[in-house]
Amino acid sequence: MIRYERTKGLTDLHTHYCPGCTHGILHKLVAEVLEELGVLGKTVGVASVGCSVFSYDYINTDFQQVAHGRACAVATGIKRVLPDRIVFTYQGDGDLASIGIAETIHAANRGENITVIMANNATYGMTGGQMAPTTLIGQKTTTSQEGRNIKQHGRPMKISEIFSQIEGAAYVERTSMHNIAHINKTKKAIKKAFTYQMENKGFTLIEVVSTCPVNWGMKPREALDWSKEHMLPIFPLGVYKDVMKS
Amino acid sequence: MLSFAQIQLLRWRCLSVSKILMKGNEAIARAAVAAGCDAFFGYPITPQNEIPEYLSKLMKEHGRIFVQAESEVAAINMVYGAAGSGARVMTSSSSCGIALKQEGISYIAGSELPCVIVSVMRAGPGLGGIQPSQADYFQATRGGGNGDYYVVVLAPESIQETVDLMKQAFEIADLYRNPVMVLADGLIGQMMEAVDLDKPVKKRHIEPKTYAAIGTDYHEGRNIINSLGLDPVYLEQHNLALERKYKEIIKHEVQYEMYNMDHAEYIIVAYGTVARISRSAIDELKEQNIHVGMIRPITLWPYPKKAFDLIPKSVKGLLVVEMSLGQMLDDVQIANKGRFKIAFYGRAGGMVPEPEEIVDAILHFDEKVVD
Amino acid sequence: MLKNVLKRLTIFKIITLKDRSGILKKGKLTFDDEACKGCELCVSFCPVEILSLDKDRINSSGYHLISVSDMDKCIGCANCAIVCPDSVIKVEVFERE
Repeated sequence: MIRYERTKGLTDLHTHYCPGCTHGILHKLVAEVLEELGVLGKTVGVASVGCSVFSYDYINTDFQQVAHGRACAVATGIKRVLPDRIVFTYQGDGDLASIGIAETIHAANRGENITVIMANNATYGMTGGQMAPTTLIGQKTTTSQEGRNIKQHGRPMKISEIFSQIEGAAYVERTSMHNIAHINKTKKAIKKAFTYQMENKGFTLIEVVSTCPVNWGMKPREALDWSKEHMLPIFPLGVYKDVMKS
Repeated sequence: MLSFAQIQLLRWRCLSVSKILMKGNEAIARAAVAAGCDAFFGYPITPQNEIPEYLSKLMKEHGRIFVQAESEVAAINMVYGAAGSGARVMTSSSSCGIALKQEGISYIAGSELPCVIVSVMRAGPGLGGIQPSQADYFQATRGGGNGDYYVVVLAPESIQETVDLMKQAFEIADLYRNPVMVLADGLIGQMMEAVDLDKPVKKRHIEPKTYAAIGTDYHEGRNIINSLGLDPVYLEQHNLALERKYKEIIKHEVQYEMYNMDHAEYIIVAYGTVARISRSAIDELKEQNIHVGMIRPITLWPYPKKAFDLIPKSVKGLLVVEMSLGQMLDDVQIANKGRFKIAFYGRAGGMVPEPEEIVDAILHFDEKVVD
Repeated sequence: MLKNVLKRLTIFKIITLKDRSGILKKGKLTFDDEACKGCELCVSFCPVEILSLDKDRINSSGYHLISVSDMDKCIGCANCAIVCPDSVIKVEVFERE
């Protein structure tokens, strides 16, 4: 019997992502969840701007590709017009936490019934590895070449913590993809988020600690290990908000 | 004293036409509802606050969508999402708020989506003032967003015309899959006039929105609303396709009015409320036996260049009057093709010209001629 | 040192693990070579260490491919397929003889 095969939630296209990039894994998880929930045909995705701009080519649903940071505003427009469809955004840390922070916070505040998948790899990957809101203190990037420092750049932004404070947020969890067990946990979290959307519980956000092997200057497995060792202490994993448990 | 017959005629006239005295902003809101607007996304800004205020109630009453967004940026992106989902959708703002929407408008045009944007102009630049202005002509017609695209711009001069153009705007937007702007100013937004909200407007033949991203269960294949095209070969073709569309719009959608052109010595070129004020100036000049006509563009894009080919050779010159320091002036100079002398009179900062000032400008035409 | 011991214990545990029906599993892997980018994540997560990057093979994108040293040792855990960002690997499981 088949234990594992490519999900129908993905198109046949080979992705443009770098070898070992966690976007590939995360796309796969979102696609598998949508297929398993049987909602692929009722889903509209919102592709943001970053390496994942082409997510509309890879995840097998209708899509709207939108301006940098604006995904949650566009998703609001879609969900208000089509309340019975499943609407999700797929955003990086630069897109969501920097230019898009206002739109994301307000969508959560309004309790929009959308699911936000955030890939947090502490850098602006597509544009060559600049410092992002979630870049770690001391982390060297092309715009913080001596390492991020508190005085000049401030501290890394804790998105899950921020969104746990917003009453319109129904489910907020931070997960990781640094090993098989955590990849499986990420899939569970994504499934829970989409299930909450289907039950009209409100805004759901899954922040997934991810890697950027090329801009971090590491091999893929090395990058996963680095994310576990260095990012998890700053971005602790766990459920930050669950409206069913409060 | 009115005769019995006159009183009956007056009664008949009042009963047969249902006109309501209404503020411009309220009329804009009601016209949107009458035009079948499904969703409105907006934000407060003077002098158009009554538009979201009225729509917050009207849209709910009609079972439609209203969201007060967190900013004008968010609002235009909500418009994008709703338009991509197949809805008739609108936003409204003023000058500095429209500035914030430019990115979104470029995306909407690039992705070939329909929407209506109402701009109630106020003085600028920057925060400026809240009094009326026409200093956003460039912003409206030259596209403040990036790339080769145009927005169809409709400029009403009265509240009735605003209502008519609002209804037309939704039709034009859907027909061509492009943003359409209704460009008013603070005077139109705030003044009150009698309006017939039920006056019908020509309905266009609009194809079903099979491009909408509503879920693969509901149409063939996958629909992707997108303006991205990294391959220049593809993107050039896309731009050329947009150009073909704009050429169609230029061919079919120009609107303008020519007023009092017989025996005209001078022609005023003005739009919106400045055209109204110019009519009073033209009447005053008639009493001084000076005949002045007017070309009133109603579409600012596409600009009615052909109207300028109809100006009799005997005309001594064109006076462009704007509540700006000369923005439509550029388009008049282009349309003029060097045939007539062009003079300019403008007010800025929210000042509204009096008819006497325009009369004076005609009387001292030669002093106001521009190079 | 401790890490190595733990790793071997885990492998031992997995190899001797029986599924719920008490039958040992055997896996069979199929690779969509054209989709592979040679990132070696599958190699690093395989508990029985049967995968490796094969520098003698290449696909049309120029990436080296993954080779299996001994398919008999495959326990069908699907770690490789789960971690693969490009859905290269299909995993089938059978009863182990």
